Amino acid sequence: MSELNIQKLKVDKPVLIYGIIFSILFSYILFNSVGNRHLYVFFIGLGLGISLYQAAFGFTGGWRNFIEKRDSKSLRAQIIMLALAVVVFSIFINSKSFIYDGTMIGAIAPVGTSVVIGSFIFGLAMQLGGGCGSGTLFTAGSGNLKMVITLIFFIIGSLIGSYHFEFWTNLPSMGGFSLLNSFSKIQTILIQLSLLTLIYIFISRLDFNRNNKIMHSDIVSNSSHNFMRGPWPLLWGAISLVFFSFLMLQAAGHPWSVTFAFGLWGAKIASAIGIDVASWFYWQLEYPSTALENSVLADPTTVSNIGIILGALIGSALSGKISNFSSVNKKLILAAVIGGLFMGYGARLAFGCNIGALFGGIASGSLHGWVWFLFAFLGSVVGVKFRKYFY
Amino acid sequence: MKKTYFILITLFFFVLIWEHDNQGVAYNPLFHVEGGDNNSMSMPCGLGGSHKHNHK
Repeated sequence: MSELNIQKLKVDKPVLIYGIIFSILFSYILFNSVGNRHLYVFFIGLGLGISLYQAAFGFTGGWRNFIEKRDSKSLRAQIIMLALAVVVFSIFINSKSFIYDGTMIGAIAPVGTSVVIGSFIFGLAMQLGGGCGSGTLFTAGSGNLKMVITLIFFIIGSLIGSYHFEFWTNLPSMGGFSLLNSFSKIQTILIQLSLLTLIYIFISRLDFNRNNKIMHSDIVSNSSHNFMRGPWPLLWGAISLVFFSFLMLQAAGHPWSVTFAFGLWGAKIASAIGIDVASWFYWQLEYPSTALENSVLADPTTVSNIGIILGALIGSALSGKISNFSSVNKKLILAAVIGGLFMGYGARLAFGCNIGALFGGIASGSLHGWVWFLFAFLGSVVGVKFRKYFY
Repeated sequence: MKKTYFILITLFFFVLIWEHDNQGVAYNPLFHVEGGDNNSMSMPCGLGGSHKHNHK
């Protein structure tokens, strides 16, 4: 969007006031009846929501552009984001938080059949649903009704995934593997940066071979550079997401996570209508059982997700684009239903989405993050082909 | 479309607040034990701390 067009868009004051009122309301509730750290997590969520919206930082479109057109711009920005996160997280994981008295941990999960199949399903489905975990949240928050449908079915899919969780996690697996547990921090950083550099060079080469030109500076250009109104350059988005993820690690004690909350919301609703979710294997595990027994606002993942939704709403109001409500036809609804359902299911099998598993996993030096990246990308290659029947 | 959207998300926010009022919450139940070591930690993925991730 040109600078001139951005200037013509007016701040949507009613929506801005709506977003601010609900932000104050949730801040008050969290401060009064949950805890200071939850309040910090909520503020960090707001920052993440604004950043995701203003930089339009999503994995789905970027991967699709590369698969279809070998346009590597967004994918290169994601690689730079991962490189920054690897450096920052490798230094701070397993050390004391400066916000609370405790040690921060990484996102480490088993590398097994469930991750391979779950991430492939997720990668395929996100091309149909039109957004990944974080992408669904921030686009739903910024007024996209189709993505609200995707989110609803994401929740249902997560719930079904939690029902089948025991079956999938009993399939062959080599267990968890963290570079930080086997190598020094410096070695971990060097190994991961080398891999990311190779990927950056490889995708840049493919882009150049197809399009006969590549501008590495494009991730800081072609944007308005207007902080309040956006759109931000992709590099701004990458840096701000790493910054807020670092704060999330410090406040929550673990890397940023999105999709656990979707399963929790589904389980709460299922419990309310009489389904004995608490007897399911997944909901008897330590963290999920505690989450199920308490208010949803006690779950930091839920709190950060609400922050992201409201942050994206405020961001879109500031940019004056909240009223751009796109029409939703039957085909798009079907894509949102199928995409949301399978993204939710896949995320539960794969121990998270592009944020909890890919971003958090790689930043934590966990092998499952790399496996997730590979198989989700392969799934997206297939998903892009299916997408043509719906869009 | 805009009205439908705002009705949906407002409903969602109020359900969260209503559920919070009804369910209640202990202080910081889902955060790691303060001052604890890695064995006391858990992750939202549900598998617990890193030592518990090697279950298969």
